[in-house]
Amino acid sequence: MKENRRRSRRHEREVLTRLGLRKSRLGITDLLRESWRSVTRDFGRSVVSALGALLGSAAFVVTLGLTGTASHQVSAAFDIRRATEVSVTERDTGRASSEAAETTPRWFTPLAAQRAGDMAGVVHAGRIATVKAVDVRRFYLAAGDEVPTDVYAVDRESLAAIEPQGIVGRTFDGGHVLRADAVVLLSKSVAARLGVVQPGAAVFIGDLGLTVIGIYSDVARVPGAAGGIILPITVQENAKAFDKQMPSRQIFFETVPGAASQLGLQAALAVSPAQPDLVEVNAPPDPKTLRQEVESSVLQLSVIVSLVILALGAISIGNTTAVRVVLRTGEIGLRRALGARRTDIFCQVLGETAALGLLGGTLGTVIGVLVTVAVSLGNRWIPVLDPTIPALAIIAGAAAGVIAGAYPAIRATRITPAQALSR
Amino acid sequence: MKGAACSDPVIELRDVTKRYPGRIAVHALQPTNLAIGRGESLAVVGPSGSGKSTLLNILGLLDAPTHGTYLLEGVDITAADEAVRGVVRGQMFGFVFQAFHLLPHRTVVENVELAMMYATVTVKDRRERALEALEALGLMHRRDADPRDLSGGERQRTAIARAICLRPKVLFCDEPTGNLDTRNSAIVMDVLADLNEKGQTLVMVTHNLSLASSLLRTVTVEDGIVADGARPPA
Repeated sequence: MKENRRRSRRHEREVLTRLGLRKSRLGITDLLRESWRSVTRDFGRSVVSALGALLGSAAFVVTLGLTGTASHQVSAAFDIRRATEVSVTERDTGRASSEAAETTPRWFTPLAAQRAGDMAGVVHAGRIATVKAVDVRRFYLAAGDEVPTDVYAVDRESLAAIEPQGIVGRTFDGGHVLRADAVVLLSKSVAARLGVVQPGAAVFIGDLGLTVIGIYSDVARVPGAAGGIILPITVQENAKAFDKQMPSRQIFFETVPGAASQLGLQAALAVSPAQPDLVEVNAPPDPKTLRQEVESSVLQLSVIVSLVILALGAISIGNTTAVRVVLRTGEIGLRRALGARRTDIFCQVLGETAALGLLGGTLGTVIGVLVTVAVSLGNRWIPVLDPTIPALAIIAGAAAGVIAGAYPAIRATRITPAQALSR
Repeated sequence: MKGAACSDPVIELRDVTKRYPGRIAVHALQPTNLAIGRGESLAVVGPSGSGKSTLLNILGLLDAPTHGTYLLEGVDITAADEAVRGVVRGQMFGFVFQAFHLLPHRTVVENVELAMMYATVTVKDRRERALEALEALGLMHRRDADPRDLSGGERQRTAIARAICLRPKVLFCDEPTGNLDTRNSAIVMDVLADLNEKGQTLVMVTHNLSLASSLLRTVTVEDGIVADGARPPA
């Protein structure tokens, strides 16, 4: 086989030399020029032919562009809301809890909270003891009008982290906590159920009388507190009214954005240096990893959708080109008669479909970028588009054109000049 | 038109046949011996379907014979592959067709340049030679026109310019006046006669016996049989 080919080449060289001829070929500049001219000679029809590649590339850029932009927004929100909270709670060891309820565990002391607050990246770190379903009364002697609610006993730091909002009246401060002043903040819903309309009223938990100093409508953190009541932790620790029920305790951290994951690794040691395994740390997952996972899933889906559209586009270009090859039989025959080799014809048809793909890819990319920017600005998002995406979209369009052109190009090489010119 | 002796043939066919295979095989060309001399003008005449175009295709290397030997300037190229045949067609032969085969959306000068694109002629030389050919055929003023805006005679002269710009050894014309009126036919024939006067070897297939009579030599093809030397009746 190889020997035959070599002999054939040698014979070809000999014949051409004896006739004083040189090998003919279509130069790369001519090939590019011919390909581009075939696209521009009927630009409207070319755009229609390239519509598939155009849509595929546009879809590629829009889906990836909007995915990037949206995930950036989601991530930004996620980072601020979720990645700034860490809590340390008691690990469930299965031990009898009555003992623990009577004495304050070492990891939950004010000193432990202070150590937590001293950590780098912590904005606020404080103690929260939550007592579930405590009966609160509007009047000391009344019976049957109890309102069951969750009590959030906090110190100055954790109150700052919870950040009650829309307050009528005032919040309590470090002095109230230090003195164990019998004051309370009611959530709007509890105040409504108790019939308290303004601060200054008294409410009762068992024998404990509390003065309502503020009513709040929402909280920034610890969402359960939005429907409960908040009082100084020293009141909860000292009052017999809470002895019946063991509170659930946590050291709650508000951190600077992005520090929560790192703090999560160190919090146990900070609050319980002697026995860090006594506590359990609840930190948000690493936002970067999570974002990458989310983005990766969305990216895969987007790429698959775009590739499907691009494949349809390639089929469309292939069909159109196959028809054009039939319509241009005379021209192809003429080129063959003028000395074009089969390879020249093949390259020219392929060059034309590549140019169509390139045209579709480029127009689609421009449209895709504009749509991404328009949608982003419409939603007041910052458009986030990896610069490699438009480049990839254009290359993908051209590649779709090349793949689509292979079959029509092979068909074109089979056209013989005698057959074509006799039409 | 002038002629030349066949002692120095440009093309020589020896026992060449052409058979188209199929359910019923067609013997388009019976064993043929034909020599075309340098500078000769040869008319190929015959009724439709007689095998004139088959003979022209074989002479112009647009088709390969089934049997026989093809000598080009004494070199046997019967076994040459399509690549060699393409080079010969592009650099040694010129073709003029009845349907002109000009590319639309290209100017006249660009159509003429097309012939040189595959022969590795530089862009600058292409333009020079194309303009030279157009000048010779009186089409300089139409150089930037779209072929669709030309008259039939102008189109055929453009096709002739494209065929001669590489100064071919042989110019093959397949019914060059078939689509033209009498006036334009006369113009085209004058151009071809002029080229032949200057030494251009000419092979022309035609139905028109009066056109054939203006060429030195005539071969008649009938049922695939080539009869050499008969002059058509005047």
